[in-house]
Amino acid sequence: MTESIDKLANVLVIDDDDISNFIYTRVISASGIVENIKSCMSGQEALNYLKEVSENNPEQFPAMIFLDINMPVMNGWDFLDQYNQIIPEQVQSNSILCILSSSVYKDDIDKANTYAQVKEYVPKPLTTDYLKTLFKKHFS
Amino acid sequence: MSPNSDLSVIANLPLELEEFANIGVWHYNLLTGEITWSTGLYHIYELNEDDFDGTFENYRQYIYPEDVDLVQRQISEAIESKSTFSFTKRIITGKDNKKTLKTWGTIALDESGEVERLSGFSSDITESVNAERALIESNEFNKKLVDNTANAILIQDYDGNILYANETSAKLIKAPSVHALIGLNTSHFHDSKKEALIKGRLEQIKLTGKPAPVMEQEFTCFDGSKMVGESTVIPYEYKGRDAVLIIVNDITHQKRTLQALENSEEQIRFFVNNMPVSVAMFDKEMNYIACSEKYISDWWVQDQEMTPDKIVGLNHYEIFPDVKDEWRKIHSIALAGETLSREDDSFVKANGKKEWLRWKNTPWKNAHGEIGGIILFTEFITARKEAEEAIANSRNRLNTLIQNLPGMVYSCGPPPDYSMRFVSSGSEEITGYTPDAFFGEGKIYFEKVVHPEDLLKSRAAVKKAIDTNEQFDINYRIFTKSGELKHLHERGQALYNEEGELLSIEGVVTDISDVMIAQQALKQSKESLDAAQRVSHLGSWEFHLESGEVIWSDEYYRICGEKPGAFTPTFEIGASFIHPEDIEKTQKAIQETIETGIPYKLNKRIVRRDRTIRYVESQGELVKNEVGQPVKVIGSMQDITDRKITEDQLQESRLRNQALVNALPDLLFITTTDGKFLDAQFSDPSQLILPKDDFIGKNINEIFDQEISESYVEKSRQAERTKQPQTLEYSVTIKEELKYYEARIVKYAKGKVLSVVRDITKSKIDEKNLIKTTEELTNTNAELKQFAYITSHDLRAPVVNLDTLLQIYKSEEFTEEEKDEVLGKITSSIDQLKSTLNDLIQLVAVKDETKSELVEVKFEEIVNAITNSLETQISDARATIKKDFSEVPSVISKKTTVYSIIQNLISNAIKYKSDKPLEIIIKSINTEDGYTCLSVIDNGIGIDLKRHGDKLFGMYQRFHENKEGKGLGLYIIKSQIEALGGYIEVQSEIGEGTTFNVCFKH
Repeated sequence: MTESIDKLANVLVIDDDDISNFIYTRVISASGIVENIKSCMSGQEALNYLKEVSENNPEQFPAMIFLDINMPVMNGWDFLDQYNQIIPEQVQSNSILCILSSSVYKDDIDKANTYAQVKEYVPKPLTTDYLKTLFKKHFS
Repeated sequence: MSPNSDLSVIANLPLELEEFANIGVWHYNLLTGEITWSTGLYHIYELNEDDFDGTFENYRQYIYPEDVDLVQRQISEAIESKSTFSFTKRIITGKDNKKTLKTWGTIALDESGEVERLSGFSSDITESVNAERALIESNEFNKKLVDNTANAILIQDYDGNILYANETSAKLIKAPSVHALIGLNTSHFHDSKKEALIKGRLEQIKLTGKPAPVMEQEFTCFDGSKMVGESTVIPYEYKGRDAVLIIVNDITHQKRTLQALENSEEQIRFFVNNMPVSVAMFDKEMNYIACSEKYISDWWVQDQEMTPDKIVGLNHYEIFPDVKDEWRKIHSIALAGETLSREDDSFVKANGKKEWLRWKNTPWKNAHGEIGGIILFTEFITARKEAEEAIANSRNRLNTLIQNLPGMVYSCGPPPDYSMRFVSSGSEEITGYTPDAFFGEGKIYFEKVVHPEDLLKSRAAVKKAIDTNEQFDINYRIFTKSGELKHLHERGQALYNEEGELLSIEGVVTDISDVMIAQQALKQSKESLDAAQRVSHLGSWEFHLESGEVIWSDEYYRICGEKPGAFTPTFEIGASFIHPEDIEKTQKAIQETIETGIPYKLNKRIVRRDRTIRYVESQGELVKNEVGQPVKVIGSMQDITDRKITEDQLQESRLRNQALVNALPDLLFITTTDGKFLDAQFSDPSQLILPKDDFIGKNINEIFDQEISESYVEKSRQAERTKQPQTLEYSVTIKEELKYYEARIVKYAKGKVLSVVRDITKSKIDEKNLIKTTEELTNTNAELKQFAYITSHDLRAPVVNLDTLLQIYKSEEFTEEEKDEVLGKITSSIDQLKSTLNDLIQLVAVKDETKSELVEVKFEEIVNAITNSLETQISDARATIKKDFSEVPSVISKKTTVYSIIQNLISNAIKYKSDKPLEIIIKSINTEDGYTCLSVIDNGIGIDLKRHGDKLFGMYQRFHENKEGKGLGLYIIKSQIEALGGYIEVQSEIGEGTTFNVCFKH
């Protein structure tokens, strides 16, 4: 199934919960479609990393970003506002940003849809099958 | 007959015929070089006999320059080949007219066989050429041409082998079929003497790649008969091969005619036979000598076949027994030597159709100068006549129209000049300038009279219309010759020829000044009417009986609570605004007015969409036209709601007085407007605060507090001044019970008011309870929503994690270490789940506790219990806790809530401690505004209140990374304290510490 798809060089996971981070890293690496998985424990850490990459080697910019909403200090929405200001649109357009949330509340999904850069709203748990569907949709 | 007598016959006899058929005869004597023309030919050339000297050079001058070569070549080829010929040429006549002539010619040989003379005739085919051209343009003709062309079309290679032939080819050459021709060599059909010439032509074509000139040649048909054709040869590529396309026009028939010409005895007959017009030649007894094919087809209506050959010798009156006397008379006059003609005679055919005819009856003379009989020419000109009539009519109509239009019709040239080509007489009325003023020296450019402000706009509109080939419609102003300003409307369009070239712009200009002035006046009058209606709340309406159209004025819309023009009103829409109880009487009134013509007037209610009711006074009357037929109903509708309300209130007040006097259900006082009690009436003395005698004569301010007495005096004065009832609500505590009263104050007499006081305590309490219940319900709803959110979000997260972790654990192969790691994560998830469940239990508890009993909660006792339960955390954090409850040792509240709040705050202090040893101070104070405040002060890391202050107590808000927590603690505390009617506040400095004040209402 993966033969037809080129491996993605970089994927970023942003979640303050280390268990969730552990799970995503496992699930994504088990899918075998990604070379490198980077995980950040806070929105600020992720922003610093993304800013650095977009300025110095934009080709290494994560092809996919999984973002949790419920995080302390800078929640997912705050992150999106900053992301939009800091990362050039050109770089943004090469990346698929997915909201990853355990909330199945319609309010949250509606709010996610008001952000242009949010391409997917992924309800937890993230599964290998769902991941493959996402890859297929956006990269094949 | 000698050649000379031939000549005289040819030249003289057919003169009438020549004129009629536009044919002229010519002879070219090669020995003398002299060219002789018949009279008819002079007519065709539009020359007098003196103008033409008979030389070839002179003749050549009248030939169209481009055709001179053709004529010379045709003549020299004819001499060389000693054959007959025909060609078409164009000439310029003596009157500079261009004409097209078709010329047929033959040769006359002398005794030694040399060509002595060329003779022939030329026919003016200008009109038929023109007609043909017009016909060619029609699709039908094209189609017919393709379907069955009269020309033979052949394709052959340069060796003469036929590659393709059409049906006509086979027919002309009398071949059994087209297939029989394919592959044959054309030399089979040629005169062997011409073979070299034909080969030469082909080589010439091959060499130059240009078509060869038309050549007349004789073909031998399959059955041995001869056929004469004119062939045009064009180089052509056929299926990738070099070939020639040959078009052969069968001219055998013309040839025969010409040959007949040579025979003087036969020539006239042949002439007549072959005339393209309807002509018949009779002897003195009216027996046919000859007639043309056309004559037969025009006149022969009987069943048996008739031909120009068969008719010879038959008597005219015998074969046409119905010839009228009138015609017999004409014939006899002609036989007596007179020529009779009519250019436009008409008669009615048997089928009732009116036919137009031109005819000529002329005698002919034999060689001896005696009348030999008559020649009759006829031509049906019905079609032409009808067309002419139609054109004349349409021209007349157009002209009449143009000159009588109430405007100016113009035609002008293309931009940028737009110079006028035609201006109708209407220009004078519109611009003050006569049409002539727009032409010649010092002419006026129309743009010059246009108002400068309108010029660019109208120019752009015209330009755009020209570019898109659409009609333009523009309004602009001009200054007339006398300086008057006029509003004009112009409608026009550009005309293009077939090549898409702009020929002219044509249009009509009309004066719309009156319209514009009227429009403006209408607008002004409508505006002032609008204003008047708005001020008086008077709306007007119209109902057109025939069309059913309904018109409302702007104010009518407003009375109905709608925006003016918001919709197109109809009778039904109108009815929908009328109060259901009033619809029937309104419709009845309108119906009666329509039937009787008597105006109606009625009061009704308008119900707006927001259900408010307007009282209106409605009137209507019938409008009739000049002949007394009803046309429309017009009416007005005045909003009298305000007046109505006042009336109603007055009525109500009267009724109330009546009721009060009769039943006295309440306390009734009469006071001065300054508040002095004059009298009181009541049914139940126990309702009074004081015995009657204790307050009569006293002022209200001696009995009630300042606020109530001042309000009472104010309302009393207002009641007197406005004559409107006033209400005043107040409360007093009577025997430790709070009682609510409502006083309704009305003017009683000058300086005196009547006040009716009613005890409304019960309804007031009900109202308060209702508000409280609503608030509680709202809170419960909000809490339920929060609960659902937590369930969805915070419970789901660890469960989802657990699920995934277990799957990972089951499905993957691990080392022991990794297995431990996953198990560790599972344990953490379960802890998270537990903690969330605890939070939820607390939240649910908050709700339940609202029902539990309020007790005296001693701070000391509670804090000790908490420090005991948190002993390990406190000692781990090496925290010291200082307590000071000396000022306020306890609070009346709910024990569990207070416990929960303090426990949460201490946990937070421990969780967010800094590197310094943690010190927590807990103390209680009473505030001035009736609260007991418990403060929990720490020296921890602090909170950035500028950044997070507004979110601090929100659900799921966390302000520190790398700390456990779900962001619910402070939210729960806030919910708990607010449920008790208190509040929580915070002060904090980053790096200094945080103070939470939890304030309980007494």
